Amino acid sequence: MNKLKPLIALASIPFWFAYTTLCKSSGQSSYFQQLMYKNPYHHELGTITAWDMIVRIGANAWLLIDRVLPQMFLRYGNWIVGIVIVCLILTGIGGKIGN
Amino acid sequence: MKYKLTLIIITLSVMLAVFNFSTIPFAGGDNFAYYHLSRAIAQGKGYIELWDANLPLHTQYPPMFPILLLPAAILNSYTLAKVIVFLFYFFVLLFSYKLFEELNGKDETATIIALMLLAFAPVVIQYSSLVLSEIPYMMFSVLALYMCATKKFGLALAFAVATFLTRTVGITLLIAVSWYCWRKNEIYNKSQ
Repeated sequence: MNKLKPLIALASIPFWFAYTTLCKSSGQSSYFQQLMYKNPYHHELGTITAWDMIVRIGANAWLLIDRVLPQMFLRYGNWIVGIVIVCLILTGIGGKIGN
Repeated sequence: MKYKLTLIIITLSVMLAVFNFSTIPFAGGDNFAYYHLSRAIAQGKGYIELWDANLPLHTQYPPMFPILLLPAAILNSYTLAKVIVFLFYFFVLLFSYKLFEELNGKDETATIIALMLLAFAPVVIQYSSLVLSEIPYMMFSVLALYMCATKKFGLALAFAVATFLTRTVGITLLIAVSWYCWRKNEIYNKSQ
């Protein structure tokens, strides 16, 4: 039974995505479709390519360093603060793995 | 001393959040959707979009947060919805402290610093009374991680599912926690 528990928990994933795919009305987009749009507010711009996805991941990673992480703690900050925070996180994870 | 300091940090954080509390609805729009999805459930109409004339089934946001807002929807009080989120924010502080304590062991300084970084983070205080899924998502994430740290794997999985059913991005935590529980179970079986 203990081995089954993680599988039962994971079963919620296909259940939710099946619901969102099968029950969405004609005008609605699924979560995955929205993820793949160039702009979820302008569907007519089409979907992203594999290269666009790589560019988006890079841009979002930079956004985290430049704005999101510094603003979480300081409200205003720049990429230097972001890099310091990322280094602290990596040091913490490294320390945990080391232990 | 550690408990006094913890109490002071949590009290100060809650005071800041109380000063930040406003009954005026957030102008973003997602809060409106969550509240009206909750109202639809409360009225027994199902998980439908009350703001659309065709009343279609809602398929964008998972249902956990609207379900958590049910007391507010039943009493038709938007302010109560804000209070519910505020309570979750309090639980975030409480269980984060327990999680940090569990992870840091005897290193009390690390626990206090981690709690301070969380308790006084402007974004956390800002979101503490907005009817948005960020704070409940944070609460379920922290609970899932705390249960993993204390080896209560059944509860860890339940909270990981709740995380996913609060915000779809919780899929990452659900997969990670499931894998962790699976591995821990294997290690436990081999050692028997």
